[in-house]
Amino acid sequence: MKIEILGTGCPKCIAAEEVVKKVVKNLGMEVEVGHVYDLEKIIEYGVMMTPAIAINGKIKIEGKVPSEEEIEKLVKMHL
Amino acid sequence: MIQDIILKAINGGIYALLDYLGAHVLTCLVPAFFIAGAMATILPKEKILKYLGKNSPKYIAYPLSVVAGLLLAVCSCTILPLFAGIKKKGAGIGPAIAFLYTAPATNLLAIIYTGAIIGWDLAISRILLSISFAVIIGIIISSFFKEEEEESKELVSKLIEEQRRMDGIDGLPLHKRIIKRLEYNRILIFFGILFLILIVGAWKVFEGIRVYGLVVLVASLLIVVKYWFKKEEIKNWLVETYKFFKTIFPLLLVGVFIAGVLTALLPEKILANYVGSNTVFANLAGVLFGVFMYFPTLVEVPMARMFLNLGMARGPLLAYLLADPVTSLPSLLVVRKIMGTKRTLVYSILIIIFCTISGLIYGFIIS
Repeated sequence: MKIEILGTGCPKCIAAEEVVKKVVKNLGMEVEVGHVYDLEKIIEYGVMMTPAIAINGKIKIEGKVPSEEEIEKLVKMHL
Repeated sequence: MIQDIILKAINGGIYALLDYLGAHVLTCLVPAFFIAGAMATILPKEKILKYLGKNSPKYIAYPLSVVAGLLLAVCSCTILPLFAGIKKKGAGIGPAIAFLYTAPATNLLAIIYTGAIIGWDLAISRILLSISFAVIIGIIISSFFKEEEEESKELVSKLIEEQRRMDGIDGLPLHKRIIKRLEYNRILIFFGILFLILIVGAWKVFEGIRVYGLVVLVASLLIVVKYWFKKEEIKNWLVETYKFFKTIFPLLLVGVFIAGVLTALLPEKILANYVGSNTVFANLAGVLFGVFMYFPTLVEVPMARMFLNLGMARGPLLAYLLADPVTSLPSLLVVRKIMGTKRTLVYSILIIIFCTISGLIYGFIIS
């Protein structure tokens, strides 16, 4: 599985990345975490507001810093 | 003797704080937090944004940008992809800039918070000026840099027509149609009740019927929420409300407290020496601080309250409030990548000039 955080590097995007990393670490699973900074690419994903979270290339959360439970739920759904 | 004085001071301070919170802030702030949460979660942002992203003529795109800005409460970084989208595929750079400006700067919440925490005179000036600046700066930049305008335009009304057909409620019997209509408008009713609670709770006119009015309104809100909203939606709304509360409220208290301590420790108000009067320097200082610093959405309001308590004059305060949410250093750096160094420079300089002048004029009028 691959989780991507989409965001240009603003404080909210960094917060989102931290949430994702924490959940992945707590779950102790093999998950690839990436961060897309390039705006062109972010738009290609169809995202209008950042931060956004994509799992396996599909946008799941957009325009807010997700909670840990949200990420956990999403990760478990995609196992 | 000294102990008595200290005790008296603390008592007085606590009494003043409670009085301030009870009379002016709580009735206004608590509903405002719930509205903030609702706007962040329940409002169908995608629908508004979809219209904005499409090609639409200027006379529709500018008002749409402003309306979208009023409804969205986001920070200057969040809407960058949409800004790039409007510029590239949509209505062009003018409306895109108007949106870039209004989305973080003018939202109903910022206005409610400003009114509740600082004063309604500043709140009203803030929204009117921000909307005007957004459109004026958009028009200036799009006419300065004409070469990049796009030709293909598509009418928004077409989209709205499609949406109407898709709803397909015309074939149903009358009573079902009415219920469907109401459900369809649930968001409108929901926000209507929330705003009514705010108005009845805060406005002096409703003094006599306040308690009854609030009971009726809260009861109808509960009914609406119970029957028309999914559990998930309600949960998200409450979580988001709590998040807003958690960010803003402590900052407000801490800000007021720090300002109180500082004014007590220093005989002369430190800030007042620099920005206590309505000078060009004071206004410019407020604006520059605002333009480059990044604060999360709505945090500029408790910040401004602290500045006010520290002795900042109301003119520079307005200048700061106008400039702060619009941009920050991180967002400007990304904007530069999208529309180039020259345009970004013009954009920032226009913001600085407009905000500084407004602060000066406002300070001049009220003094």
